[in-house]
Amino acid sequence: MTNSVTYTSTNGIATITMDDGKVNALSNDMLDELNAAFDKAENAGEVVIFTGRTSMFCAGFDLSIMMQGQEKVLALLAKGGAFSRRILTFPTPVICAVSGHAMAMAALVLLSSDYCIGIEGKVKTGMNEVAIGMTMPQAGIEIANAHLTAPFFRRVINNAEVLSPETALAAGFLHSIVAPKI
Amino acid sequence: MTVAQNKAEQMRKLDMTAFAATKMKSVRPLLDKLQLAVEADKKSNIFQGT
Repeated sequence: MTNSVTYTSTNGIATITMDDGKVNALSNDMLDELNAAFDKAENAGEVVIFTGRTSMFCAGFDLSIMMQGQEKVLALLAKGGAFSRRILTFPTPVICAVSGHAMAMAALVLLSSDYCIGIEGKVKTGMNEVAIGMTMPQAGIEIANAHLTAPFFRRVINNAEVLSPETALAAGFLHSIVAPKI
Repeated sequence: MTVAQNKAEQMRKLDMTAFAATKMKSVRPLLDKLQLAVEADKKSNIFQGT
């Protein structure tokens, strides 16, 4: 465990924050910590605010693990996919306070959540898998197809377009955009 | 109070039993597709174009 996730609770609202001091990469440890924090919120029946560090929500999977061979890649993809499904089926609302960039797997987390609040500014959202030489997993394609608006599906998945906050709103990643303090 | 907290307060007032049941119904078709997708992904190599 790396202690990159904090959980706080006030009046039935849990705030789960990722902050690894860098790009909040989703490693096995980070996903374990997130699941432990979501366990607490689920057991308490709390609405969840899920957020990241200033200017960086999450950069997606930990690429150092993604370069360690098929077995470790598949294990991390499976764990990430299970986390997406957990949010999709979480019994209380999960609100993403998207504090900064949200790329790749992080963008799928947004699409799995109940409401996403982005911030104005030079913030990037997208699925850049194809741009970095990865074929998009089928599970990610299904989640994107279910939640992205039709005109953006191919642009985001096949063309790996990285979107501004305004465009991410039109695409369906975000549901509102506010000034940076969210 | 931040915008996210305001939204959380608003959503906390929902009936959570009804919310959970409706959410499960709304994602059921996607979950069925994901079950098949997960099996397909186990057999794929995302770095070799499959």
